[in-house]
Amino acid sequence: MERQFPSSIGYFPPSKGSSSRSMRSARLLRVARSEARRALSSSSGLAEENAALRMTVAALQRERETLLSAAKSSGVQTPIVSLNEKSKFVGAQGEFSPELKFWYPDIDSTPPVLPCFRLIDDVGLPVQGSDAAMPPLEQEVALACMRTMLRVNEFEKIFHDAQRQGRIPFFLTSRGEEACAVGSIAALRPTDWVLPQYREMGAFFWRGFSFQEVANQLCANEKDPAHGRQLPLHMGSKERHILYVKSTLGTQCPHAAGVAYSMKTAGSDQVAITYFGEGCASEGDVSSALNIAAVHGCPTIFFCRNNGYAISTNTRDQYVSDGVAPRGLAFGMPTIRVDGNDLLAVMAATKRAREIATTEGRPCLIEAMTYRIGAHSTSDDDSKYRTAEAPEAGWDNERAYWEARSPIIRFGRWMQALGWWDVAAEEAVRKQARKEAIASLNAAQETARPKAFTLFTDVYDELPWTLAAQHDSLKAHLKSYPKAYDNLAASADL
Amino acid sequence: MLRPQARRAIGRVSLSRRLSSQVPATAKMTMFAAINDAMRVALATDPRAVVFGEDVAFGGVFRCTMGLLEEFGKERVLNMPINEQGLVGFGIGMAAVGGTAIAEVQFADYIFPAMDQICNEAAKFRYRSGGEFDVGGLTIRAPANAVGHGGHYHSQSPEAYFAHTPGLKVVYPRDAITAKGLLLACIRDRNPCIFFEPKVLYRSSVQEVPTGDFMLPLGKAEVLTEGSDITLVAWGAQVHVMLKAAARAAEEGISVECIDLATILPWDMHTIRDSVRKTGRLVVTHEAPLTAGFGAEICATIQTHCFDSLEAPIARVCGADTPFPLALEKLYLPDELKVYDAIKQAVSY
Repeated sequence: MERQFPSSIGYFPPSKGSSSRSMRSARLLRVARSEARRALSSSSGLAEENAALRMTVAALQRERETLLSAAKSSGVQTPIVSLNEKSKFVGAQGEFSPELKFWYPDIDSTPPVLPCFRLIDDVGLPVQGSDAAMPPLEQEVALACMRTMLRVNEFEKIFHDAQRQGRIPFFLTSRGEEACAVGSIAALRPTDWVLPQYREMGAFFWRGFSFQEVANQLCANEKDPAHGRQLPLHMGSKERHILYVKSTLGTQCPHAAGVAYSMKTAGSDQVAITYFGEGCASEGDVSSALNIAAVHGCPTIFFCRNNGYAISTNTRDQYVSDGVAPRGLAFGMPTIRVDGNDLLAVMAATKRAREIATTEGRPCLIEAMTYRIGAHSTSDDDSKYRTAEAPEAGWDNERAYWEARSPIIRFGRWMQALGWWDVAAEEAVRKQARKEAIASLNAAQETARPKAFTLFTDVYDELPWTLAAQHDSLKAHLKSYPKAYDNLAASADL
Repeated sequence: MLRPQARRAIGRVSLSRRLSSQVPATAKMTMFAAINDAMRVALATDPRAVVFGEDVAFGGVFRCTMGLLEEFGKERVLNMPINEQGLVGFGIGMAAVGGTAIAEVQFADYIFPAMDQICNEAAKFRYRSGGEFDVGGLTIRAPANAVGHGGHYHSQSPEAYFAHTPGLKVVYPRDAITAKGLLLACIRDRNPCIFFEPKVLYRSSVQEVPTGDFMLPLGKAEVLTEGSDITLVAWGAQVHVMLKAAARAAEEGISVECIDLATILPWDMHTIRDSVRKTGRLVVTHEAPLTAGFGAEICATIQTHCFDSLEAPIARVCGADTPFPLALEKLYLPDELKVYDAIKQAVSY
């Protein structure tokens, strides 16, 4: 029975309702799952396949509504829900819960395994009991979230391929984790400070970065405000309240405590959010930051994307605790684990975290459970280390299982059920994004490299004599060997 | 007892002080009181300035933050958990959004957990953002140098590690007056600064220190005694060893020009170059180990700029290439006699 009636139809009383109807639901779900599997086999038609899947699920939803109203009219207690469903995330397994509950270490006695907060299930249906916590989401905002996730997705595909073609030196994608960045950033104010790790493209697009701006950074051209000094994806913007990405891990977490403290003492109600992965959480700086932020009541939201892998390292080699969440509790801050592939849950949790940070003057930890669909970056081959077995029978492999539960698919189904979304809309956004991404790549590549003198600027506020001397020396050298560095600079640039 | 030459040197110090600072009033202060006074001025003149570190709320283990909590409140004078990387990172965050962060690392020997935050974060903040962000508001104070009984972990002088990191300023006062003037300058400088305080001088250096707002320029070495036979360069507590050695040499008729480098990064090459072009000889002395100490940088650069003027090989008198010892500290240190001997060898080369 458990195997035949998987989690997502646990809403229905298996025996009290009509068995033929339950069986029908099960059949629909099986169809949905085979559609999902098929979708994975052909990435080119992914949007269409996803849409087909969503339509199947929409049928399931209608079925469910019929059932509910029938049950209501016949006086049957409805619905009986399996809340015991366990999550199968790589990083922590526990029960799902529709309750938006931050666990307070100073008030609650916390369970050995923290539940995972979710509002919609794997097939995009609102879970029973989700009404209370469902964020009041206007259609316009929902559409913006969806568009941003799709634009991230398409942009990343183009630039991932560009790296493979040797057009940029490095890239990584947030594929499968789009809801973490988008759901959380959409819950904040535009002036709240963001301290990213490096897999939060959605936050950049949400805050108004254009494809062209990102492309300029990725191609390290002269239009990159940081003069092409950092690896691709290492962006930031003061105007958009995003601090620059860097490659060091977790070092931004203590900064987030300091930023938030500075806002608080300046009398501002701005908060700081910082993102990091579960692997990064093993860095000492993360523990340092959690502790300092808690001790000094910094309005900081620590957002851990637990995506199961740190480059090749599975979470079982990263920790033996119940994920990362217990560390928030241990350091004395309200903590929640959330289904990171459920944009609505991420958004609701982040909104609440912001409230706690500002009204209670203390930090929060959100552990968002997700799955890294892509490799760590373009520098590793994930087929060498990724777990082959799916966490549930009926799926080709672990990746396939999670790709079918990607936040874009789930949120899309939820929107579709409200009549806010359809296959044509998705395809239109994807097509447009693809076109824009290619255009931005081409334009960025045609733009000149940064000026040679920017090698020496911005080390200090003013050029010290040492750098002035090195500048002059390089200039003289370029003059002596005018052809040797032609592709980079001429002495005239200095 | 200071020898005559040294006494003259101190006379010149106060003269140059009077010339460089138009200060209306002074008060007798120890170095720790002068540092305290600098922070008091910073807190009073900058509402976004915050002082934080381990044990700073009760006044600090060297009493440098005494009374600040009472005067400015617990939001601006913060105790930190014992976590150097965390507290430096916290300061970087504050400074990144326009705050003024005055961090205390309890001993320079314990700054190493914060190495990543200092070298990979603070130092690169401006460069990596094309100047959009900077942490110029960050100053890290740390007691350094030998103290007579500190052993491995209460004696080190780690300036060379940081001197190898573009983007930082590294500063050493030599007494109460320079401590106040340079610290306030560091706090207000638009670059992240590390301020090493010679802990042996906290109580022993007592001077008439300018009260109120008083700054000394960073990146400027100071000629403490003018001379014609040889140039000596030191910083921090070693300045006093240098002056004593110079006084001893002066008794034998050797005219020594003593220079306090004061800022290690970016260092004032020109003052030393001009001096060495005049004297033709140079001895650099520091407490930190010889190999790859900052003296090496000075020697390499000065021989390039003064090759034609040199009358003797440039010499270094430094700590041994060993961990800082306890029982044998006196043997380890580049003391007055070792510096004196180096002067003698250089002038008789």
